Amino acid sequence: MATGRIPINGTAAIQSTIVDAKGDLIAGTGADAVSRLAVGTNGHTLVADSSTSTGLKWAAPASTSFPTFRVYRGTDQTISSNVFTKVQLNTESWDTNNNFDPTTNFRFTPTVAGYYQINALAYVYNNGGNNGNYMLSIYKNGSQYATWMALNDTGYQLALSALVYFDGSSDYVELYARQTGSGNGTVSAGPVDNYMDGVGIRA
Amino acid sequence: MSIYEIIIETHPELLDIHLFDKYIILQNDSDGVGDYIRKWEYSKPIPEGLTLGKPE
Repeated sequence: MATGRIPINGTAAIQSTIVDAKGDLIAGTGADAVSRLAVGTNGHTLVADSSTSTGLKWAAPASTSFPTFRVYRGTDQTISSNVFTKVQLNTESWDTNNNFDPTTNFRFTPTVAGYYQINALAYVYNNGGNNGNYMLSIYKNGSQYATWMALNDTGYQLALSALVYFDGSSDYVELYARQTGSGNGTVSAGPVDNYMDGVGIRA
Repeated sequence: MSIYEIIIETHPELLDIHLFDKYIILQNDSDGVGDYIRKWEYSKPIPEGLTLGKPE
């Protein structure tokens, strides 16, 4: 490897001895002044930082660990005819950030803001075998956000997904189901025939 | 008699499910309150004895 001076502007020069190790950088510290910036830790990236002498520093890449969850209804749930009824998702497969409430409100309220993929599935049928329509809805903050509908049968396996933005504090989603056949219907127990899951994708 | 049955008895034309979907939403939040009328945008009045909104 060549040693000596590193020409600058054809007149001045920086002694190559200023660097000590592979990956060291030469950084300006002011007008006509330079300094060695030692190589950073593996995986770290160079970022501007006006508080340091060189205006630079090595830092771990910014990253966000998004929550993910999967929940389902542990037993069959009876629903009235023609009524959007919240599915009581009371059994967790996982809930990495404890952001799902499986006991009182049956809702996902992530504490990390961002865009999330939310998926839901439910097998809904009319208890009397009567024909009707079937709807599965993701509710955001108490209102319908995304709905899947199937028409004129005694039961359906309903599935839908949606991208949802959460503010990381008060925004939440819940799952509702409806059947319009005469008499009560049933949302079958999970985790295969019924679940909701989700994961954060980006801030 | 359920809320839906009361509504249909009063306004049988709503038995057409598309009419019902268009004007009315019944909801149950699985919190022990039971079924209630979430939305009523039908030109005719809510049947006597029923009210719009979730009971306190």
